[in-house]
Amino acid sequence: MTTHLSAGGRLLAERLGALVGPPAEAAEGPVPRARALAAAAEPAVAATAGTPPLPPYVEHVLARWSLLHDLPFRYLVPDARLLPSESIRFFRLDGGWLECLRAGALAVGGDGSRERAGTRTLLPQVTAAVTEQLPLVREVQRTRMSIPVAADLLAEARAAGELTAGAAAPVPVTGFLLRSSLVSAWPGMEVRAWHSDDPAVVRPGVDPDELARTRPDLVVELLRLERLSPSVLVALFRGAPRLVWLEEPPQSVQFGLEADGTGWRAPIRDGAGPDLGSVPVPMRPGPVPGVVDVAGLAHNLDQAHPLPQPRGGAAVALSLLQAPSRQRFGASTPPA
Amino acid sequence: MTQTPVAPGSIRLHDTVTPSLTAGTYRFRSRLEVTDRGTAQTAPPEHAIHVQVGAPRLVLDATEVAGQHPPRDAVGAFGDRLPHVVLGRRALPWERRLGDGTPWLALLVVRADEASLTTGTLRSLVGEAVFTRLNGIEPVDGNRAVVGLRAKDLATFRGLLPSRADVRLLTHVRQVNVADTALAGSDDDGWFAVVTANRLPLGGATPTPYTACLVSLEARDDVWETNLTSVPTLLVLASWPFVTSSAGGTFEHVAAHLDLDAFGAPPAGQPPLVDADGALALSAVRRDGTPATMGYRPPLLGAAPDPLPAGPGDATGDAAFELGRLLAAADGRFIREVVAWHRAADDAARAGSAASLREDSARSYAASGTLSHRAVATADVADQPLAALGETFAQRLLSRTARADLWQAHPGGATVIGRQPRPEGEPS
Repeated sequence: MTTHLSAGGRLLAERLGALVGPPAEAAEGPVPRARALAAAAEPAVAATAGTPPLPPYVEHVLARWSLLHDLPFRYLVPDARLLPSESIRFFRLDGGWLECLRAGALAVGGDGSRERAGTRTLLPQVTAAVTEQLPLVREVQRTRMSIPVAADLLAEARAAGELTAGAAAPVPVTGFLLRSSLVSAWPGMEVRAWHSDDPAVVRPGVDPDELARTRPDLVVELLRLERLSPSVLVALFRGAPRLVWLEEPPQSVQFGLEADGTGWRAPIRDGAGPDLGSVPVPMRPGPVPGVVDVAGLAHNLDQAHPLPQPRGGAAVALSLLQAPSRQRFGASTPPA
Repeated sequence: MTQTPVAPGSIRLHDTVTPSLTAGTYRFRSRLEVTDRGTAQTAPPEHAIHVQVGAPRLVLDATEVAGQHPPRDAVGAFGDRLPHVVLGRRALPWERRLGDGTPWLALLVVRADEASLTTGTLRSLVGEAVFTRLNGIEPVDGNRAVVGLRAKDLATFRGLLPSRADVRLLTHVRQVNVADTALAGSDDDGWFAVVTANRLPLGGATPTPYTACLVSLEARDDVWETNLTSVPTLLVLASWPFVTSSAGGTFEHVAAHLDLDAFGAPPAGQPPLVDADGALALSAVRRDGTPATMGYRPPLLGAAPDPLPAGPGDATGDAAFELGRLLAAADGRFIREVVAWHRAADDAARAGSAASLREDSARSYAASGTLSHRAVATADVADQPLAALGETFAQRLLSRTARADLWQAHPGGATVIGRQPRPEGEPS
């Protein structure tokens, strides 16, 4: 998945390409691909003869439940003391527990001893299929694609052999539960996870998107990020991250002034480079304390560092923006 | 407006996003001119159509607010940050404008003792003159209940109110890339209008309560007049309280002071909750009515080892199995598809076992046939009767198979009834 297109978009483009005719340079693209798909599908059918594959819907719903969707909160946190207020708790998902859950779900269609025995022998296969489905659950939840499209994508990836690497070593699902006023007060908080907590590799102030572009191997994929209640957030990752970030949402980055004795100062910025010193912030005299003379501040900034045109709302805001704050949770203790 | 997309991780700031039509009622007039070789003909009558461009006016819906700082009801050290409100609708501050293009929204931050919020009808709160002006811009119901902000005296009001130039400087539009935030809302185009307050909510010796009020300045050119005699009441679209104290409250502070641990750990300073397996003791009642404790381990593992706790006093596996059954039973489509899958698996298993049985017998038969050939050739019939029998059967079957035709005719049939091919066509 190296393209900018989402997975669903890629599939749509491919389908459309097959409908309206392929682009000129890839004139013979889709046909051999379809053939290869058919050829690859045959041995798979032969190998699993006797056990029909799970229906895509069933597979998807099992994957959803395996990511704790729809599970009553009491089953996750049976005692309130396990998640006190203003706390964050890291965990990994219990594969055995979820296997029992899936066995119970599959038993609903037939609860005889024969079905149970059959389900038990099929369970490892179901687990493998569900594990492959996990990354697509979030896409479906965000309505980026539908369940049949996800199933098609998965079948395609299976036929192309892209999923065999993951099957060899099962990837654990980890995550955290956060119960805090952070969740209610800063909606749209960003959560990022990385495979390294080395400050030299993932620098404290680094731009996460820049890092994800240059070092895609460091990114730990997010499987679920959802508010369970106004103050409880659950996040699940594919793999075990060494470093997790919580960051203020970018659209509500704050405006701040720097205290300077009894007065205040604002940095001079032109949007191109580092700060160019600072100017005093004029305060309005009168009975009401703390009121900023904004027009005077704009005038001061214009005097100190003129821009091509007098400063407007955006340029004044630029000088007042504070860097979004970011909380790092690392696996190893940082060097003092 | 042609724009390059915002690079991930950066913010683009805009002074204004001005919609070409401000909110209000418009009349479109269309007319057709008909000419025939230069001479005007009778035209159809002029057509007029009324169009309403809507925008929030008297109250702001909670869904329009994408974020605010300080958070509602928060207590913290907000004294060095200007409060602001983020609006999901980027053109909202310019959808109504004052005569000179100044946005109609301003954020005022008032201390509890400086001003008060009052509720009343629109007409009684803003006064008859302002109501007439508002009604002239766009008809409005004067008896609607609205919220107003009234400062305690004129000096306080003048001290709080941003100047016209300030209002313009305090409003801007932010364009960010929100591709990777939580499943928050459907509005993820990344455009937001931000209205900032002109006042720092300074703290004091004791926690200081403040209220942030987003006020409407529509048709309120009068508030900047120097000869005001009474304190004007401003229309409040949205407001939220917060308290400035000496420490805490900010994102950094709350995040840095989280109780951080692996799942299963008790709150700081309390005895452990779970046993070595990670299971929690829950009270239960046995079948005979005596109380008991049952172990249950949630699917979230902190420090506990991987295998599920087992034993008569543990309900973990059964609880998970039963929950799976309940979840499945609640989903009709799931039941249908799983039942069909069970049937298909059953059919496939039955067909598979029958096929393998047939295959096995045929293989053993063929194997015995060749063996018996060899056996007959090498050993005495009396020594190996079974092999001889097999040989006979095989021979018989072979001869039958060779002579029998597709239509299952008797092998001897060909000789009993003479078959003469008919000549082509009818004999004449």
